[in-house]
Amino acid sequence: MTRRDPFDEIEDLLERMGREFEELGGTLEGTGPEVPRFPGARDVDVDVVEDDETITVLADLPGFDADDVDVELRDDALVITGSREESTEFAVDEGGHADEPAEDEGDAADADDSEDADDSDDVRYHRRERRFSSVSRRVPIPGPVEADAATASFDAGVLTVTLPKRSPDDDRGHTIDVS
Amino acid sequence: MDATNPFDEIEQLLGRTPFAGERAWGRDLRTADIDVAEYDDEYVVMADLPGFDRDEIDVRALEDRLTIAAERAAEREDADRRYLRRERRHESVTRTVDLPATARLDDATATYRHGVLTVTVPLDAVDADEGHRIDVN
Repeated sequence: MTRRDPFDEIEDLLERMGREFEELGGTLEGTGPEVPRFPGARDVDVDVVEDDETITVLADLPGFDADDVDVELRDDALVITGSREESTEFAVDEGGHADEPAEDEGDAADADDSEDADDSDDVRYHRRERRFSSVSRRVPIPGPVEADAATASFDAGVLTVTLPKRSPDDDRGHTIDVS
Repeated sequence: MDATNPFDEIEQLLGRTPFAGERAWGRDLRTADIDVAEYDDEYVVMADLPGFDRDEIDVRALEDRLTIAAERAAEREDADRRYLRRERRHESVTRTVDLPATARLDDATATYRHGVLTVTVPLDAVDADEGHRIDVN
């Protein structure tokens, strides 16, 4: 655990920078949708909800499979990563088509034609706002939590991570019995 | 196991990630992010609608306009349940897309999977000579 590699240092730096950007973003956020955000600061939209027993993090990851999503609790931050292979962009499209014939009027020839159209470069994007590339987000967790008791679920493109709070008494780490 | 590439994070931080450009600057919480792709014989609209049920999504086509609306019950917030951060989109989002005149709306299909709505609208073939032929009598 004490292993130190150069990427850790980069991560530390990024985290420090991220905190500052988040403060910046936080102040801009309240002023309305027209206000520019810091580029890249909002790769994954998250809600963090706290109640007496738990801290719950909800993250929007539309279009990802549960297998594509990775969650890690590192120190006092939750790191959420969604990764896909490059080709998924088209696989998603074809997935849509593959479902089609069943619901369609069963026009198999038509479905074949549309698949051909996908494979060719003959596509024009009128809008392209959705994210296809990999995404990640580091969410600072305020206060100690039971990492071992954390649970995560993924449904309809939303990741829900539930982190039970740790009571302040066992904040000191493992208790070692003195005999 | 560590899937995070630090260089990706640097790129994201600098806002150089592909497709991050326009969207990073300002965002309307009442709309959905969409892709609109036109193929030879169909129009495909994909909308990010994370966290909805199928029956909370309404897709309507009227006069060459496709309207996507989704609505879910509002999350409660009270003294026992506090939002420390709230960035996710609103409970109710709508988005309208103009479709070409050749769109066959009656044959449109929609699927919802992993929080992404995909609407496929077949297009009528345009005449090979790229124009409207007028019969000469």
